[in-house]
Amino acid sequence: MGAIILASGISTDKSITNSVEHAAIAAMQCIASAKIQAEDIALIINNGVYRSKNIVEPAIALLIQKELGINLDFVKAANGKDAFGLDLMNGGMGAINAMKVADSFLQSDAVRYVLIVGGDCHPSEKSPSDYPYTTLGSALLLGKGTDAMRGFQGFAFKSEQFSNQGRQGYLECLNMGTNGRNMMTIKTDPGFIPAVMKLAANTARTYIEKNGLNLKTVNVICSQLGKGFAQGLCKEIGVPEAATLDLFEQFGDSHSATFGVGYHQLQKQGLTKSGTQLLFVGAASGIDSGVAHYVC
Amino acid sequence: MKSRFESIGVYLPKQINTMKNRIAAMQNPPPFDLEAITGIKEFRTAETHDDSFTMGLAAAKDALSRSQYKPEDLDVIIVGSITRTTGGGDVRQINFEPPLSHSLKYELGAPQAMHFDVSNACAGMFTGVHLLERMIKAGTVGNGLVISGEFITPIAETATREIVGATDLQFGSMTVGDAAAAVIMDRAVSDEDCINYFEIMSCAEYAQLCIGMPSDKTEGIGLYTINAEMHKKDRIQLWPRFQMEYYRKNGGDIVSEKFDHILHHQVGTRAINNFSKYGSEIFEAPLPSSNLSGVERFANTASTAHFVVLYHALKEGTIKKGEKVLIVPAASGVITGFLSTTFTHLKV
Repeated sequence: MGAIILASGISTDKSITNSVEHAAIAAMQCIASAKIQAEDIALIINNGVYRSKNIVEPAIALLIQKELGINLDFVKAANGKDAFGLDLMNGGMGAINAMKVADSFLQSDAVRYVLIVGGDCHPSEKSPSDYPYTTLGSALLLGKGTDAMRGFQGFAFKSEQFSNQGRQGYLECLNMGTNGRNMMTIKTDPGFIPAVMKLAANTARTYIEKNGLNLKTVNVICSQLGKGFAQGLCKEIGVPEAATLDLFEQFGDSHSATFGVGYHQLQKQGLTKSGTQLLFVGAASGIDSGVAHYVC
Repeated sequence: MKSRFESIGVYLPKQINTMKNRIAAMQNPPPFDLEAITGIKEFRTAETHDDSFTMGLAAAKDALSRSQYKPEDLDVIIVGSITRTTGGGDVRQINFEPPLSHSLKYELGAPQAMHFDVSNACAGMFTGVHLLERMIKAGTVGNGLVISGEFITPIAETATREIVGATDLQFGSMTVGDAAAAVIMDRAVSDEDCINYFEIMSCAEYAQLCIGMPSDKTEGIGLYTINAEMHKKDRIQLWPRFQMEYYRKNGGDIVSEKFDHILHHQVGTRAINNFSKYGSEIFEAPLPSSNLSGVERFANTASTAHFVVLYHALKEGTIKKGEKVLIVPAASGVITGFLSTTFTHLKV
């Protein structure tokens, strides 16, 4: 049986400039809302890509785990409980890959709860004009499903090759001087957004057709690569524009945090009633696309 | 359902350098004998055209050359490098987006595979193996390829320029070498050839003991480790206590498991011996006398270290058909765990 989303949380305070802090706040909100013991979370997956000071080691997930105080020292805690944190990186759609991973862990009874956190910040913790993402955080708490008709029902992934991989974010090691902790180059190919919209729509449409979903009743939470991206994607898929939330207007492109933000907003608006069909549709650099089908 | 290592591949750059040369290049050589302490005599250094991508690609091709699977058969490709560099020596960039796994899968001819990168310090490959193992167990994928290319010697270049005293946080960087490794995993068909069990954890109390990031003193990437804390006996003994808890819950013990070999993270010969010694104290039993090591020849190749040693132990016949190996991951974080595997068909 597919895993279920037990709770969500977001952190949007503009005075917070660090992705770890945002993710931790969102996760704490999520854990409190689920009313579970944090020590029962055995897997923490961080999808954040851009991080303060361009830290490459340890995993940012572990800095978040530390902030959350989850199973910090197996021996000192002496409760026999452990946790494992990792960074899973796939541009703005790592959360979709993480949902598949989490679903596998939960289906095989390997863990009780999985926490998926997302959020990016520019390494300088500032927001230079060439940095396209909003600094905020989100969290989703997943648990084991008990009803075959609910929870995650399936996944699909499809990628293509594209000029300069659509968008590239990197640190130029031979041109950084002593300022490497504050630098990031992000280059976007002019054709990236329409191309990845088409790819993601195709992946979603193929999934819908293959699984016989009703286009009129599917809700879409998708990447927010720019103004009107969500509506354009819905049009390409063939679902009504009203089937999606325009997160970009309110949050901009929250990149790796987008899917947690989207689910949280949907829940807040009372749109996650039992039986609701949801498609998480990811569109990312590479170019890559992914679909996670979820029934509330 | 169990999984297994179906194939293993390694790429080592041809360029061999010595610890003596590295120490000689230091602006402020230490008052102690680093070669004697670490046991590292030589290591590989990436060629000018090499980077994490090209080395990872070569290791993946090596693994595929002995696999029953073709690139078009692969369900998942996971890259676990710390370094994620492309552009070779002239351009050299660390990539954050898109993941290296995207370009690697196209270069390998596996466009159908789901792909993503994981980042988890020296446990990056083990993280990929762990995720893949659980996905295979759940039946959500049938097979996959885990790759890591570590172009890590630039941190040693930074260290040779910047180390100023005997307690400098960058001494750990002096012990690294470049290498790449790849493993293909699938469903086990026999208990004689499988991953028997694999558990891994992060004790994030110690997450800030070792941090890798760009230097603010000279142009380069630095690794800053509080070694005295990182390798404290208590930290090392997290592993055997974790493994004993597993046996308490699932049955078994270290003696009845009858491991033929043990494989630790390759941080130095003394440290490797200490890991077994400290482990043995907690288990209250001897650990395998065959403590697999390649640190003298290859140094610490970061996330690929265990797999480089495993590859050579299989190739050189140190691990024989049907033997059981206890593999102990260790990484910044602090990450530790244990992987029990039996090898019957895996060949190099």
